[in-house]
Formats: sequence, structure tokens, C-alpha cells
Amino acid sequence: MKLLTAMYLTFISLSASASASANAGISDTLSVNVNSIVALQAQKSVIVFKSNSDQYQLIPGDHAKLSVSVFKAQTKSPQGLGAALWADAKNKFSLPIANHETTLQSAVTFSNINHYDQIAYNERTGAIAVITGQILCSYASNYDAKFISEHFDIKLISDFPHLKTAFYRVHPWQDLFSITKSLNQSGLVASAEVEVIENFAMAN
Amino acid sequence: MYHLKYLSPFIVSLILIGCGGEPVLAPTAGDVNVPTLSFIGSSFTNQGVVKTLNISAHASNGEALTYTLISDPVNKVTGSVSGTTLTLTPDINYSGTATLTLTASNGAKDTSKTFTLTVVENDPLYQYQWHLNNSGQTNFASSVGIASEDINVDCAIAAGYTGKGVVVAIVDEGLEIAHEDLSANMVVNGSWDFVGNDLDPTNQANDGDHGTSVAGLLASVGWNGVGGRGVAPSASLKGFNLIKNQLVSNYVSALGGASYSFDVDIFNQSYGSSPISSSTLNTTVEAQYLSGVTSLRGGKGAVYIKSGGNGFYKRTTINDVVHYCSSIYGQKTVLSCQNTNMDPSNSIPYNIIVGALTAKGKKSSYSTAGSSLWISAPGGEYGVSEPAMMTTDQSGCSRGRTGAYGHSYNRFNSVSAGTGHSENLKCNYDSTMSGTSSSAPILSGAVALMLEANPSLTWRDVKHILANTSDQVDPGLSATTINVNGALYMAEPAWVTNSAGYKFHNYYGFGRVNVGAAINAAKSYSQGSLGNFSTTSWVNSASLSQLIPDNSATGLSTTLSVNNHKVIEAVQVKINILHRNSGVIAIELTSPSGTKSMLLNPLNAFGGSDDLTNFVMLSNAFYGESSTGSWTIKVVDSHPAADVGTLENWSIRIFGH
Repeated sequence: MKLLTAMYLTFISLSASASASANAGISDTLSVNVNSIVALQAQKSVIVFKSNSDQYQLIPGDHAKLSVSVFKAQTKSPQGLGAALWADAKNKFSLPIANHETTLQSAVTFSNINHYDQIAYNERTGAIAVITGQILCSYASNYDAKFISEHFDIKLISDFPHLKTAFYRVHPWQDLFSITKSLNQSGLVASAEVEVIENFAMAN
Repeated sequence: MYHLKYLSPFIVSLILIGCGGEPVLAPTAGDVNVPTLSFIGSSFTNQGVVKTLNISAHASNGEALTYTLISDPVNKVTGSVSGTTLTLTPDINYSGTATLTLTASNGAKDTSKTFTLTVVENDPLYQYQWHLNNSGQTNFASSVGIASEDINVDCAIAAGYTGKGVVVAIVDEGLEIAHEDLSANMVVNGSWDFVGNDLDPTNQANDGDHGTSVAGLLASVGWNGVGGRGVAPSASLKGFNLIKNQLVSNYVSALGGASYSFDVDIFNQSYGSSPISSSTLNTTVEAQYLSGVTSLRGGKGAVYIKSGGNGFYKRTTINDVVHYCSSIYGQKTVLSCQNTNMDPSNSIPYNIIVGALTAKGKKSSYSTAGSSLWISAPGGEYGVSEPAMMTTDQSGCSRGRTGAYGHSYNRFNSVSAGTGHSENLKCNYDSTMSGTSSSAPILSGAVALMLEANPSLTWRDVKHILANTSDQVDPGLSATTINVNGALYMAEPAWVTNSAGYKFHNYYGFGRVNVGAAINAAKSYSQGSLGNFSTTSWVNSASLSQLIPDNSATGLSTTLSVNNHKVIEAVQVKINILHRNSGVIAIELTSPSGTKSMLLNPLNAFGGSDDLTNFVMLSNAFYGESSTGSWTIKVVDSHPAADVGTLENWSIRIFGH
């Protein structure tokens, strides 16, 4: 519904604004115009995945970039970014959305250890999220984190036995999404998902 | 001058039994009708801290004795005698050596002896810390606070509680572990840097370190001659710079899931997210919170304290640009733009959510309202027209909030030719800190004192004591009503008193923390009095898909029945609503006892975002009530925008005993 709404509002934004004004409606450019650009770009994605109960679409070809200053994330806008259509800044990342076409192969190329911090679109919330490069895995009681690491030849980053949860990264020759899918199909884990950060915490 | 009556034996003699080097009043042989006193040495105490000395008195016929204590300087130290204890109370702002003369009289004759009490060195900026002792000071702003609008902590300090032995984690963006007013309280090699994966979370940025300022409010070292004083001036500190690297695994590690955080008693979280559409808490992070309250502190549970948010006017910040609700709805904001329930980590019972108060004892302008607030504590304003908080800053005049990147909002924070204000020459302190980020460490400090007073308290005991001992503030605050299609709609209720007798307000939770009262309650608390904690399963509605009347104060009401009896400690509601502009939706919940709680006020930060999807809200307003019976939810579309939504379904679950 969100995608449809965003697209609808993009195409009728001017008339909708006029109508809303006459109707004492709300004017919310933050929720509509910006995200509609992201939504249109995400339509090109061939990678769709679930994380923390939400569904995400990989934004083709792009990935978050560490800002020059960790504190002062680069200030961007929908205009003036060269090839980028739009960019957001979240925490230490800048999130440029370029006008890429993509294929399954190119998406995979960007999903290995050399290209962490890809970005994805959440159709429900209309927000973009950073793909951290970690796989969050709840392991079944019969297998521990190290066994899973060895079995799938993935790197164990951290293990929290009290939660039966471990975090992994893939090697340069592996694909994040394919490995996650394999984990879920293996019967060795309770669940595995690509970790994303959508809502960054900020100091209050 | 204080006249003290004390029944003692006729033969008057006093022995003040001190600890090494303290004054001793020794009996002196002589006329049995004449009280005789003698002293050896002097005594010491910290500023604001009561000194007690034991007295051994002997007399022969039980005459009443009167004691008089005179101090020089006048009235800087007062005294009282009870039983065998002489209590010396220095004035809260006094430091130095006072000459004290104690006179004992049997009515006919008396004897006076003189000794000294040295009140050890001041924390020079303590005088500006209105949250500790509000005397109406400005803290360099242009207006004053109101005397006594503080957290009543001095009596706890005076009684000797300083947070010693309690470990508090500052989960933030950094912590300058070498700061002159923090380093003595740092746990050596106890912190963690999530950026460099090392033991030093000192912030490398120059424009102020939030965590360092937060830490100072909690545990600036006391009586060391520099800076101010923390609420718990001897608490032990660890710093985890989670905000700099927010991987889920780092959340788990910082909140008690790693070896370096296993021993933490209190986690201070002065941060939050401000999503503009409904979001859900990461299930792994939620599992860590549950694990923390279940297993840490030897099973008594760590205490998680979190700031409620600074979003009463502010919607969110993108690209360093602040967006306000007024820009969405085209009118002055009278309701909270963000709601504490919008940050999903606020909507779990394991976090104690804190709102902010001014030096006048009212809600800070920015403090986010919401039913998931538990309590309030000082957070101040901005330090220009109204007082902010005095606390630690990044060290040096070339960095920090007082320095090259300074918040030169007032003269204390101003820097000239590389030198700070005369009371802040090295620019190590900041008088403009504000926010619920300040309220959280003040509460964390208070809880550190409580845990020192009674280490057996569980995390739920702490919440219970806070709810029972907090002070109602702003009692005359009226409800906020808005016009919905010609009808008045109460969009933010006034204070309510629930059927268990607890007063609650979405601005304040149960009120302002009263440290002295909390300490007293902690000391006398009966362990296990709350019973076993448990959670009901979700009670789910059917698939409803009912229309929410557009622009109608009547709204849509529907009920669910809860049959599982519990004494309520918290209530969660999960809801699914389809609506093109979810920010115009209000959600109320009424308990079987008739208590109403506004879970989500209308005209909020969700604005034109679609739908509320598995949106979880928490209310503390029903604390102590019975869960059994019919719960009613009311959904109101408060705005004339031409859109009609539907309530798809909702669920409720109860946390309690």
C-alpha cells in the first residue's frame, strides 16, 4: 500500500496539495515527496528480503558511504548531486540514491564483504535502511554458532549464547543474500536474516 | 544557636567516640555538680555531608541536660543530640573550618568546650547545580528557577549515600575517560569503544561529547575541588559508545550481553530514535533487555533507564535540518509532536522512561509526552532565558560545547582568546546542557543511591519505589483539548488518579523523582513484596476492518476482555490501522477500572505516513490496577483531511504479578 500511495502522491502532488489545502488537509512533504523518489528507484530492485518483520528492497547498485565527518553527515538534497537522484544522511552514513539500472548479477556483486552498507527501501514505512553486512542468526538448540560458521564457511563476528543468537559476515566470494537464504533452508538455524538499521538512535 | 534537651545522668561527662583523629569529649574529674567537657583533635567531613559522633555521657541523678552548639562562622554548622549521637550538619553551601562550641548545662551550671569541624573542599560549580539544590539560581541564564524545585538529594548525600559500589554504564556516543572530574570514578579498563574495538570510548570529534556531559550529571567526582558534583558522586562509570556504531550486536553487547557489561547495575541510555512512521523494536535487542532484567545483578535484574525524547515540537532531524509538526498541520503545536511510544524501545516495560523538568518544576518545553513515561527529572531549558544544566564538557578550549565549537549561549560558556570564563578557565564544563538526555542520568544517579542503600532491590522494586515516592508536579495542569469538527476533544488528559491510587500524567509519568523519599523507601523495603513477574499472552481481537469515522471526536470504540488476573505493572497494546495520514489518529485505552490513558495523541509526528503496522504502545497509567475485565480502545480521526481509515485489529497484553 505504501508504494502505491507514494507513487500516487508523487504524480498528483500538486493537485493533492491544492485539494488538501481546500480541505484543511495536512501538508507533509517529508513523508511523501522524498520517499517517492526512493520508492521509484527501489522498483528496479530484484532483491527483496525480510528483516525484523519488515520487507526491504535492495536499492540497486548503491551503498551507504561513510561521511567525511562522523558527526556531520554530509548534507544532501534532492538536487545538485551529480548522478544521484537524492540522498539522505543517517548517523555516520550518507545515503545517495543514484539512477542505476541493475541486474541480479550486479546486485550480487555489490553484496559481498567489499560492499557492506548497501541500502534498502522499506515499502511499509517508506524509509531507507542501511544493510550492515551482518547476518543475524538464531541458532537451533542442536547447533552452536561455531558449527554454523564452519558449515557455511562464514565468519563468526559475535556470539550471544544466552540469546542463542550469533552474527556473521560473508567472504568476498560469497553473496550475503544467497548465504542467508541457504541458512534458512538448511534446518540448522531457527532463523537467519540480513541485518539492517532503519531508525538510528540519536543523542537526546 | 540551637538548644537541645537531653536526659542524661547527673554527673555530666561526654565522650565523643570518633574514628581515628576525630574529636573526643572526655570525662573530666571534678565537681559532680558541674558538667565537664574536654576535647582532643578536630573532625572532618565533606561539604553537605552530615558528621555524626558518638557521645558517652555519665551523670548521677538523671537531671535533664541542655546542649547548645554555636558555630563560627555563624550558623554554618548546626548540631543536635539524640541518644548517644551528636549530629553536626554543615550548611549545604559551606566549606572551610568551622569553630564549634558545645555547651552542656544541667540547669544550674554549664561547661563549654570548643573544637573544629573542617568541611572539605567544595565542588566549585555545585552552587549552580539547581537540580541538586534549587535555591533559585540562574546558572548563568537570564531568569531564575524556583527554590526547592529539585530532586531532594542532599539529605541522601548528607546521610552518606554517594553511589559507591554501584556500576553505571553510559551508553552514548562517547565518554572522555580521562576527564578531570570523571576519571576517578571510571572503572579501569571497563569501557568499550565500538569504533576502534578498544577500551577507550573517548570521542574523537571536537564539537562536544554528549556522553561526557551525561556522565557528569550522574557521577562527577564529589569534593575534589573541581567542577560540579554528580547525583551519585562515587558511582563507578563505564562508557560504551554505541551511538557511533549501531549494529544490533553492539546493542546487545552494550546492554549487558558482553563480558564487559555483565557487571553493570544501571544502563543509562540518553538517546532515542524519532521515526516518522510506525516501527518495531528489533527482536534481538528486546530479547537482550529481557535477559538483562532476568539474569544480570545475580538475577535481580539490571536497571535500564532511558530518556523519553526531546520531540514535543520537533518531528525529526534529517541532514541536520530539524523538522517540526507545525509544518505538517499548519498550526501552532499544542500537542506533543513526537510521542514517547513512537520510539519502540520506549514501549517495553524493561526500560524506565524519563521526561524532563525545568528549574521551575514544570515540563521542559521540548520534553516528549507519552503514556510510556515512568517518571520525570530535571533536564532544564537552554541556558539562555531559563537555566540549563551545569555539567562536564570535553576538556579544553579548542573543543567541546564550551570552546571552539561552543554553545556560547551565556557568559559561562563564552571563550575569549582561548580562555574560558573565570570559573571555567580550561573550558572543561558546560552550563547549557539540556534535554531528557540530562533527565536520564539524574535518575540513574538516584537509582545508584537507592541500590547502595539496599542492594537487594530488583529492577521492579526500583520502579515500584520510584512510582510510590515521586512528587506530583504541576498539579493544576489542565487537559489539552482540540476542536474536532465542532466538538471539543480531550487530546491530552490532565493528571489522572487510577483505581490503585497512583497519579499519572503523560507529561510527567508518576512525577518528579524524590531521592530522599526513595532512599528511605529503599531502606525499609520488604524484599519480594511484588511477587513473581509474568506476562500474559497477547489477547487478540478478531479481524475488524472497521471504519474510523473521519474527523469525528466520537471515534471508533471496541473492547477486548482480559480474563487473566494480574496486578498491573505495565500494559502493551499492538494495533494495525490503515490510514493515509496516520498522524491525525488518536488512540485511547480505558481499563476495566475506568482509567483512561492516551496511548497516542493526535496531530503527531507520523503526519502523512501511511498506516500503523503492528504498532506497539505501552502505558504505565494503570499501574497497580487489576487486569481482569473489559478493556476499551477508542480510535479518533481528528482531522478533516479527506481520508477514511480502518481499524484492522488490535491486541493487548499485561505485565504484572
